[in-house]
Amino acid sequence: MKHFALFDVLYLGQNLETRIKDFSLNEIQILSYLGCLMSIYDGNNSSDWGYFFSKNNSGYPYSIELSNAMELLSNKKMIVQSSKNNEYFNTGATGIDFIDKLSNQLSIYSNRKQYLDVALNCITLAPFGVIRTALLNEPVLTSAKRKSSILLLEESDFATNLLYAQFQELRTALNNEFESLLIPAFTWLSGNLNHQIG
Amino acid sequence: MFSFPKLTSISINNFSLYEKEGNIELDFINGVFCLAGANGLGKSTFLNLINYGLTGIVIDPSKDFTSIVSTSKFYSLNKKFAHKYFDGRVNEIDREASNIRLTFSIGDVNYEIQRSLFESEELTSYSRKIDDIDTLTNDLTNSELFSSYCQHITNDIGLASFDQFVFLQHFVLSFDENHYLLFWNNELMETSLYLFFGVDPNEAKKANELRKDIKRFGSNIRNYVYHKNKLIKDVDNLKSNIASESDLKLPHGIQEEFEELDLKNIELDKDIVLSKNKLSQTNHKISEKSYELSQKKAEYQSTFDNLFSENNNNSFLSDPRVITSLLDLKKEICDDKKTDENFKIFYTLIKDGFCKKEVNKDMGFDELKVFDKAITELEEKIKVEQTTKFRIETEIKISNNELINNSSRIFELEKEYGDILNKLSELAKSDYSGVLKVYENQIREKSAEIEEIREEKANLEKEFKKIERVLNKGYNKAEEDFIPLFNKYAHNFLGLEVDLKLRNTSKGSTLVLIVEDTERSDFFQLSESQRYFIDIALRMALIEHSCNNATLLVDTPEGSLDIAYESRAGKMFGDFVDLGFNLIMTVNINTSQLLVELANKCKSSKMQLERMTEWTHLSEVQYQEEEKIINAYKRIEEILINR
Amino acid sequence: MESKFCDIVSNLFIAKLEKDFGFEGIERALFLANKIKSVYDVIDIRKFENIKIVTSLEKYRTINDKLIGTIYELNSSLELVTFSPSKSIFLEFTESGKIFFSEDDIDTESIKGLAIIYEKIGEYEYFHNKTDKDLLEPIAGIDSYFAPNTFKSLDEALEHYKTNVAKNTTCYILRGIWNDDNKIKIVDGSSEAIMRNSLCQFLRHRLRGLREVMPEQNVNERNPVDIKVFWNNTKHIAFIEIKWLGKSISNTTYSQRRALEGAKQLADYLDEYLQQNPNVVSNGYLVVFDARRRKIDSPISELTVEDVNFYRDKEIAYQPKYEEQRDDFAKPLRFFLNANLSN
Repeated sequence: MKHFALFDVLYLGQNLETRIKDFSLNEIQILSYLGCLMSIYDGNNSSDWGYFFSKNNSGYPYSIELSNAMELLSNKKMIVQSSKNNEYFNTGATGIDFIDKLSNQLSIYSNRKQYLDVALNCITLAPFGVIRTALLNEPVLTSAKRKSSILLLEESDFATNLLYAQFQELRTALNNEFESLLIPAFTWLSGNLNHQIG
Repeated sequence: MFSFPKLTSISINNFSLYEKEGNIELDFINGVFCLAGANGLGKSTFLNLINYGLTGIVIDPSKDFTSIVSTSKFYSLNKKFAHKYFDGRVNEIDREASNIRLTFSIGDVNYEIQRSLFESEELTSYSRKIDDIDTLTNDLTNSELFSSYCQHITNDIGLASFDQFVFLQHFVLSFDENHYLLFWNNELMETSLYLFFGVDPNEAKKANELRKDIKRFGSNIRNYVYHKNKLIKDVDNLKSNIASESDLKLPHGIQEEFEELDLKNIELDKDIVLSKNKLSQTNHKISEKSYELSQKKAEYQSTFDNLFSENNNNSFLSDPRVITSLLDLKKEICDDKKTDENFKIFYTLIKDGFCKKEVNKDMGFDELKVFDKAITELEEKIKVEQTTKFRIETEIKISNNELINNSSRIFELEKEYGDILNKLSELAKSDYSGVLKVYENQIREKSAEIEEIREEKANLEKEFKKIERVLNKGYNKAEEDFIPLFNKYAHNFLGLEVDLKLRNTSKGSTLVLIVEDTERSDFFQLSESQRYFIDIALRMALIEHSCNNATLLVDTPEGSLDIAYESRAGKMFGDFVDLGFNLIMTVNINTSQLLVELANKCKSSKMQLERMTEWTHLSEVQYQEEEKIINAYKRIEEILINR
Repeated sequence: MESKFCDIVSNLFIAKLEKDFGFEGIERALFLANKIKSVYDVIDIRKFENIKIVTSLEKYRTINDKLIGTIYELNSSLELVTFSPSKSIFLEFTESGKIFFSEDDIDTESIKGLAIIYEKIGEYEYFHNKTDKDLLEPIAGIDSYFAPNTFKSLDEALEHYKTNVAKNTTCYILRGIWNDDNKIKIVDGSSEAIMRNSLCQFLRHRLRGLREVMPEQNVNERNPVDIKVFWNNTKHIAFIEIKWLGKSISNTTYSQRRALEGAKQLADYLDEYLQQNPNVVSNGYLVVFDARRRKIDSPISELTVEDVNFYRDKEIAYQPKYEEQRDDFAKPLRFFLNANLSN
């Protein structure tokens, strides 16, 4: 549903700008995709995330809902361009106020917050560019680059099954020893980067 | 639509129990007749007298009627009891003269009958008048009078046989001290249902016969199986003798194990059916709640959208009124005309139609919170139901597994048994082989007979099911009218949301009561008073649904009624009477909020109160309390008179 | 079957943190990470040989009272840290907002089980656990896990590469070009690929708005471009051509002329590309890895500091100056690679 996309943009945006000064749509897409994957790892369905990702030519995950949400928020001045460069944004006062309310007074978002937080904490503990590179190497995205436009994470897609197999392997390796989702996140990202992160 | 008797008067003569008064003469008004007295004065007897007068029957309380399946059998079983009943209540002197006379109307037809308390199949006098014109021929003997009465009343009511009337009068139109409850008594319920839901009474009669036959076949089959098993046991013993002589040990206890497993399987079957019922209830709840949840989510999204909506300029610029207004202005300006008018119009148009109203952000957000909470709660509830569902599914699985294991063991045993049998017959012991053969033949024959009967029974059951289907159809039709009726009564009484479902089981059809979404199919899930009054409510609903006229006889079980329900019960009775039906009830004078409520509702135009203390001598204890009793009467009578 | 994940987990520092300190430990580490970032925002990370930044496991306690050394509280500004001349620094951050600072080399053994301890020794970063310290596996192209590290423009990024990576060969990939630790001569064969790889990794990790960094395999005169950079939101493509100057072990010598040739090749390439793809906005970057040394053939023991630094500031004079003639040609960059005579 659209309101989830709106929430994600504001929540991720606000938290991104405290870490890397401002945020762009692509960065939001990356982090929300990572959050979605963590949610799947944790046992949810890809449809539980609230909106879908599709492939685009850049090899980045892309959700039209996120894109629309950013536009809407921009129109409403809840997010504002950070400089003359119209690619990067900061949250505006009304945006901060709104996300504060959504985040603290409604419980409909509390489930996804934990996954978004995992994604954000990944870039607290490691450089954003590294996380990004690692994520773009995961099987669904890399397979999507070779195909024509489709939805990502479709159940019938073999790349999705590859991803699930990876997650299963990951779960086995971790053997329930860790409570924090950061550990599977970093482990998995390192696996995709083929280089230890952390 | 049936028309049951509307009682207009009763006359009880030489009834020793009511010796104080001697002869009781009462006229019944349209509404409630309330016989109020203390315990042990003979209130229930009064109702029994009325029923005896109408049918010639008093129910034998020592007999268990839950096993009766046909109305004719019920009639024949109770015929003899009336004598015994009145024996204890009438002195020898009065015996000859004791009688009861009733007048009642069925529609336009006016009846007057009189019968002795000791001749149940005779009438001492009988008159049947339509518009004052006597419809009877003269010169009939008393028993002819009776059989003619039976015929007439059956036809006038609209039933197919007199014993149907007897059944209905005693089990549906009366609620008495024996408290036969319809709801939790499958056979009674079913018979009543057939009669009330528009199944052709002849068909109902046929259904009765079928049921009898099915039952008979059932017991025949059981008999035969018993004999067959006995034969098998004899063979078994025989063979163990052979075996011990020939060193072949026949394992003992096979039969026991076999029977035990069989029994276990029956139990398991029952459990599985119950569980499957619960499962489908749970599944239903889950899908209901899931649907609700998706609706709530959609509402959340649209409320969310509202926070962001605005009149954007596109809709403004493309609005035809705006365009027209602009064009008008353009024309005026270009023609150098005065533009004040059109500017004013344009201004008003924008101001009224297109200026953004400040969306009250906080209000919108509060709405979001409401939906958010609802969504969380629904998700919780669904989770709970899922857990239940999973638990029940597991239970079913376990039971099924056990069932399969038991069945395969049974199969094993049967194989094993057969094996040994073969082995033994190979031995060709001349002493026993001939005997064995005879036994085995008998067993075979018996098995064949059993099969035959089974087939016949199956056919009958098919036919029976057909009639049952008709009943269900009739019930479906009646459902629209009947359920709300019942709910009205039950709601008045219980104050809860109730619903009825017709369920077909192997024992027949029955109504199941659902209170607040939970089936109360078990007798013990309601309190005693609740059970009684639900049953009365059911009768009232049945009557209201299917009868033009009727008189309901109620022996009020007040002693067992919670105070909370007393005035509700009074209201329930009052509503019933308001519809034009009559109520003849007995109550205990010294408690009743029920009476107060009823008196308030009916007033003297619709309610008669009869002081039963005038009829008989009081006991010692009752004398001491006489003042209290009289005050209690006075209280009710005052309510009746006052506006 | 031992999966690769098992190996990764056994080396993962946050896994050890959770094992030793529980979920709380992770929470504190996240807190500390943000503080480390705030420190690296204001200091030149290469100035210090040893950096220790700690926070107590118990949220509202201070831990430095258990440590030996001159430690004083800062008044919420990190200015003293930025301008500190010391080679080692120590900082404690508390949940309540206090900052404690020392220029001593503090021994943190005594608080090992009571605090989250981050340590940077030279280039290597560690998080201490109860018994030991975990190395944060170095990643090519970044200075630190916590240093600010993204650039919005390629020019910025390349400038940074010049001073932070190329100058002292701080990238472990790039180190592969050297024959020896003295960094005098370059190896044969794969040195260009190594430079390309190093720069690619760097850009991949450090450019924001980046879509893809594509290294070229077949680099020749007609196609001199080593790296193509694509962005997400624009149609810009950056073409990076890499050339190196200096001497290889097998005596291949590249001098200034090579750079000039490279400039021409790049300009020609841009023209041809533009012809074939008129609606693309392209930018050409010539990047020169300068490993020239005076008397480069002399034995090492005879080389002086002046010798190896001779070409350090010798900018290449390009003729023609394409960056002035055309607007799709950036000013060529020269990355001087320092030698190492410390032995």
